[in-house]
Amino acid sequence: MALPIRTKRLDIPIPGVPAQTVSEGKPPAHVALLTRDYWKMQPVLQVEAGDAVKRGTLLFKDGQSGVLYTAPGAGTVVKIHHDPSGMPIALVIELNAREQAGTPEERDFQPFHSFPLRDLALCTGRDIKALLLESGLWTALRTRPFGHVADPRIESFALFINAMDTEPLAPSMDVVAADRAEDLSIGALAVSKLTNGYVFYCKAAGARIIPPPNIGVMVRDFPGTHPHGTVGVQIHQLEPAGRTRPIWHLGVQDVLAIGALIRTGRLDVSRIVALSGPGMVQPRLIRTRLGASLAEITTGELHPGLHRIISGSILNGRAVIGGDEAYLGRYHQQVCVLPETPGPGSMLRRGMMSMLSPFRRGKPWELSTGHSLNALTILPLGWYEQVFPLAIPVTHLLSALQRRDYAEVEALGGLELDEEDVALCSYVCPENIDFGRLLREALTALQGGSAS
Amino acid sequence: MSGLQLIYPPHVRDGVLRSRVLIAECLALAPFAVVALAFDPAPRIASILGVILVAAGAVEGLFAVVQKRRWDPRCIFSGLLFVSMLSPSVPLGQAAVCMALGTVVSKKRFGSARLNCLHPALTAYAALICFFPASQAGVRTGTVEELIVWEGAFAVAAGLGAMGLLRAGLRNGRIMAALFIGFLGGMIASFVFAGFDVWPDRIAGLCFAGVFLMADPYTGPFTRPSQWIFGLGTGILMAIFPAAMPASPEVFFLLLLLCNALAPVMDDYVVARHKEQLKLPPQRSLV
Repeated sequence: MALPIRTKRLDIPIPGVPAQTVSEGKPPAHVALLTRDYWKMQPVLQVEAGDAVKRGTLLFKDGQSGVLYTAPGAGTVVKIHHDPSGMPIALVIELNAREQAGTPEERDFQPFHSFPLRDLALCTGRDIKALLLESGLWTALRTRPFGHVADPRIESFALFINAMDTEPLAPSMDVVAADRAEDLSIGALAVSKLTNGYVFYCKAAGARIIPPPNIGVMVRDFPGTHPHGTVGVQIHQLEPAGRTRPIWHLGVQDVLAIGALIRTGRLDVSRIVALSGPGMVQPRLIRTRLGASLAEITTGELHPGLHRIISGSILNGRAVIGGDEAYLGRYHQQVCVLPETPGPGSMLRRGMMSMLSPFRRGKPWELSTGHSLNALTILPLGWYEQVFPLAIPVTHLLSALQRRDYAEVEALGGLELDEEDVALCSYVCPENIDFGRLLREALTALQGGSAS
Repeated sequence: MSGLQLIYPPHVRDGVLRSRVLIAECLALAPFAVVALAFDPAPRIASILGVILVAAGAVEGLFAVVQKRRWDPRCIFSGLLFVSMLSPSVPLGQAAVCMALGTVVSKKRFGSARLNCLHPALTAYAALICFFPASQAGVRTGTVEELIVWEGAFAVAAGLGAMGLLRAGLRNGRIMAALFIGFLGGMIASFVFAGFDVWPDRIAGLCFAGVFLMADPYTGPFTRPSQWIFGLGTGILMAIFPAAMPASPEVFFLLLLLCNALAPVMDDYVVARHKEQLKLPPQRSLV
């Protein structure tokens, strides 16, 4: 029996819905690998600025789990950004001319020792794991609880392929995976060998593209409304995660990349992302590449004015101050552009409307990019319950997060969550509390507790 | 490196803020206040209101300084509610002292979801009838027909406020519905045992308490089962109280305060059960 899903539908009426047709994006000249995409990673640099790299060359190694992070394109390492503590946070590669033109040659690809595999049907999970680790595609697998890259030294309890995206302005996975049936079936079969548990393929009800039925992957339908497309909801419903029950998950674009890798031996770094939002001239899907420079792929695509370019969705994406150094996140499927300036209308009208705003819920006239962390306390108006889909007493959970009572967070089931699961709570919070950041603090503390 | 400083999500927000919530609540209270002023246009109301708002605001300000946080404007709404409960003849000093006391007692530790498990206005009222019982003598006069008309007007005003609050999502529909159902059940029981004549002069207080005090999301329970239990229980008690204790209407508010205090207990029970269930092996749902 499925656990009840309790979310009421919440429409976020934001303009700039992308047309669901794929076109070629502007080719980026720079790509980057961002360590912020990978929680708990302890990067050990394997290259220096100025080194020439191929697509698939080792860049970082995780000092703890041994996961390898490889170059998403052939070219030259031009810059390595460090945070104030000296930890590398971004490694920028300037692509060579062939990569920029989209016609890389054999010499631009790093050959992998683990390739070719034997007949895929006879391969073991260990063979697949070795190839994924060596190619850097292992980083596609993330784990619940804690939301970091899967630790190859442990076994997962189940594996989820998330073939839907219900975030506002997201691309349709039917369009993304169209014409790649072979890669999907190879990739799904390969990842299904990584676990002894169940493998679920979660798709939107009505989505047409599914893996072939004879490879042991169970297809499950979810409503196409947010947040049912988030993997947290799917895991919670089908196979709840816990400290002793690590669950791995990955997106369907990574399954396609794994399929392409096993088929060709080459690292596939193409990504279909949605260019969307009110700041975009022509919102649509484009084919671009992992880690692409956002400034470069959005050149000529924006309305005039000051914008915030977000990698990921408006609810859970990431923007940086100084947009020139922004790059597409590892797990992001959209680039959303919002105007930084307030909406139209006189000050008097804005003031009047803001006073009446509680009576206009569901039709927010103002979607602000403004931010306040000066929170008083959470307001238990029942709105969190309306947008939080999991069977967890959410007001108590958010209160525990705010009080930093981490034992309570774990006792209430907070380990199952990730930032994206509480993003809607932050959206409706009248105090503008950033629960995602509080949750990450809690998870970091709780994980430290488990290691000691 | 400043060039890579992150801006955190969410990048858009619902336009509803705490201050706007407060304005909406005050607007919802307005019809009731208008009827109350029309019923008894006492010129002292303005001075009572002023004194109470100053007292509540000052105590809240003191808490804000000590706890190093912002001043919570919600004390204004609590003050308005308290004024609505008072008889116009109440001495100013007593009202101010009780409001300050109510704010102090009901304010719990900062950051807790159970911010006020006791409603500040109810607590202030309880303090008033405990320490200064003579101040709250009944003031309603007039024929039974007049009273029924006035009580009807109060009920309509509270109903309008309830509709506005429900539309704005500032009152929990579940608690409201449970209160109403419980109230109806209790009323039928009290008719059977006590007859109709205890009713007419209580409607205003009951509507006010149901809409503005007991359905208050800050002081009510947060989990779904306890919201039903809380609403039903409070509704029944509110209905049978006038029949059970017709002589002392002030005690009615103490009863509500008791219900308030029990809300977190119900929540704790539900949450404890949830935690126990989490310890069990999870239920698979493969079919």
